Amino acid sequence: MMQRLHNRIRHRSRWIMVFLICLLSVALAGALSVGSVAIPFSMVAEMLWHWLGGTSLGQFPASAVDILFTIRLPRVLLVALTGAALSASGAAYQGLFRNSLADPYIIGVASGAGLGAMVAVLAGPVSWFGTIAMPVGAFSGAIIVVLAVTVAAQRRRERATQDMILAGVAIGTLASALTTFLMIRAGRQAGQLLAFLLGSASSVGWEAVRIVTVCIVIGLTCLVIAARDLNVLLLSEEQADLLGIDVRRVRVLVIFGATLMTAAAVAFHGLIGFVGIIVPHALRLLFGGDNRTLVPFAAIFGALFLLSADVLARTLQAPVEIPLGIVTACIGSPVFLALLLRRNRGL
Amino acid sequence: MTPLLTIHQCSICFGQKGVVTDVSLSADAGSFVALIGPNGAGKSSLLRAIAGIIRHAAGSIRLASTEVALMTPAQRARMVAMVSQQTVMPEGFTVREVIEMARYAYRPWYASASIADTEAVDRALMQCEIMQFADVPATQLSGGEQQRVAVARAIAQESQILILDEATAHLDLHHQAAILRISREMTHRGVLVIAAMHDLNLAAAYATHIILLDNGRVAAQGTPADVLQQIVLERVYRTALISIPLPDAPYPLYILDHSQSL
Repeated sequence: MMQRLHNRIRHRSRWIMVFLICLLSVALAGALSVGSVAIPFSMVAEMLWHWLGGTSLGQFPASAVDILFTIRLPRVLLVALTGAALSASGAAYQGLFRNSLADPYIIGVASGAGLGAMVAVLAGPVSWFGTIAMPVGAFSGAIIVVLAVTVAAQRRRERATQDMILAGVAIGTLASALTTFLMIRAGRQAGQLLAFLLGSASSVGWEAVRIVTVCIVIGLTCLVIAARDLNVLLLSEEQADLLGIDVRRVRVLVIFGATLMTAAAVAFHGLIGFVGIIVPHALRLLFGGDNRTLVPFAAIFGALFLLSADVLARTLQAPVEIPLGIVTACIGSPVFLALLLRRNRGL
Repeated sequence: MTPLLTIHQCSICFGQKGVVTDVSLSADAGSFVALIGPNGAGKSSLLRAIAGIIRHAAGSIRLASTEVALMTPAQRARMVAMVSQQTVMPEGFTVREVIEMARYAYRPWYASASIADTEAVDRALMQCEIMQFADVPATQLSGGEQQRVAVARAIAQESQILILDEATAHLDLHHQAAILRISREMTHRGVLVIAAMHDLNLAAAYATHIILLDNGRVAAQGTPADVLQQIVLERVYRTALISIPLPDAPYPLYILDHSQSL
C-alpha cells in the first residue's frame, strides 16, 4: 500500500510541489499575522499583495506596516529559509553517508559553524562587515571541519564514508567543547551567546535574509544537480563508480552545498536540532528514497516545520519567547521516536 | 581485428604486496571467459582492475583499444558492467528504479529517461524474468531475486563486457543456473562475459575459455579441456580430486576426493 502511495506521488511530484509552495505561502502569511500585536490574516495577505505588486501601502495603518515589513517578514522568511536549509542539507547528508540518522551535526558541520559564528560574534561586529561576519565565520568553521574530516578519512578510500562519520563525531565534539569554553570565558555576553546557540531569531534584519537566500539558492542548486547521482551512491561508492557516476564530483557538490546551507542557517539562527533528521526521515517513510523528489520536498517541509515551531515559540509563553531549538527538540524527539518505533514494527 | 580485452603483463599490488603478477591475456567479443583458482589467487583483483575500480601497478589493460585507467567513469560504464558477490539494494526504490540507474551514464543529470532507456530496462527485466517484480520495492526481494536484479541492471547498462565476480556464489542451484544461462545468452549478442567462479564443473559447462590463476600468476589457460587437467588442478588447489568422464564432453566432471588430502 505504501509502495502504491510512493508511485502515485512520484508520478505527480510536480503538482505536489506546486501545492506545497501554495501551502507554504499560506503558512507564511499565517505566521506573519501571529505575534504580540495580532494583525488579521486578510490584512496581512492584502499588504503582501500590494508590496509584491509595488503599489502604495498608505491605506494600511502605519504601525501594522512597520511591524510587518521591519520585524515580522524578515524574521519569518529567515525561519522558513533556515528550516529549508537544515532539512534539505540533512536529506543530502543522509544520502551521502547512507545513514538515515546523519544530519548537519553528524560530521560536525553544525558544531564547526556554531564555533565559527561565535568567534565572529566575540570578535565584535563592525559596520557592514558585522552582518556578513557571522555567515563568513560560520562557513569558515564549517568548511574547516569538513576539510579536517575529509583529510582524516582519506587514508582508506574504500571506507571513506564511515570514516568521515567517525571523524565528524570526534571533530564536532571538539568544536562543541571549544564553543562551551568560549562561552564560559565570555562573561557578561554568556547569556546572549547561549540564546544564539539555542536558536533565536528575535533580532534579524533584511541583510541576514539576503545573505541566507543567496547561500540557500547556491546550496540547493548544488544538491539538485547531485540528487540523481546521490541515488546511485546509495548502492555503494564502488557500484556508483561502476555505473558511471563521478563519485568525487557528487561528494564535493553535496558537501559544499549542504555545508553552505548549514553554515548560513547556523550563522543567523544558532544550533537548531532535529530539523535535519526528522523532516527528511519522515519524508523518506512517506514518499520513498528518490533524492530528486526528497531534496526539494525536504526544503519545503523543513520550512513549514520550522515556521510552525516558530509560531509556537512566539505564542506559547507570550510575550516571552522560547528559543526555537527548545521547541524543535520538544516536538522532534517524540515524533522521531514514534517514527523509529513504527519502522521497527514494520508498519 | 583488435580484441575487446587485452591485458599485457599486468601486475596489481596492495601496498607492498603483489596480488597479481605479470598476467597477460586477450579475449574477443562473444566469448565466455571463466577465471578459476583458489581463494586469494587474485581473481577478484584482476576483475576489479579490468572494471577500473582499482589501478594496476604495471602493464596495461585495454578495453577495445583504450587504456582503462584513462577512461572517465561514464566511458567505463558504457564498456564494462560488473555484478559482485554481494548486492546492496537501497531502501525506498522499486526494482525498475534500481535497474534504471544503469542508464544514468547515458544522459546528463537534468534529462529524464528516454524511450531507449525505458526499452533497455524493459528488455533487462524480461531477460532476467523479473518483470513481475518491476514495481516492488527492491529490498523486499530474496537474495537470489536481488542478484537477478543486479544482473538485470548490468544488462541494462548495454556495455560490451559483463563481469561476474563470484556473482552466483551464495545462490541456490536454480538461481545459479538462471544467471549463467542469462550470461551465456549475452555472449550470443556479442558481449564478452568474464566470470570468476569456484565451481569447476559450472566453469567447464559454460565457458569457452578458462584461465586458472595461482598465487597471482596464470597457471594455465585455454579451452576447458586444456585447462581442467587433474594433475594441474590438484597442484593448484592442493586438494585431491576424483575425475568422472562425461560421455558427450571433452572434459571430465571433478568432485572432491574426501578419502585423501595432499
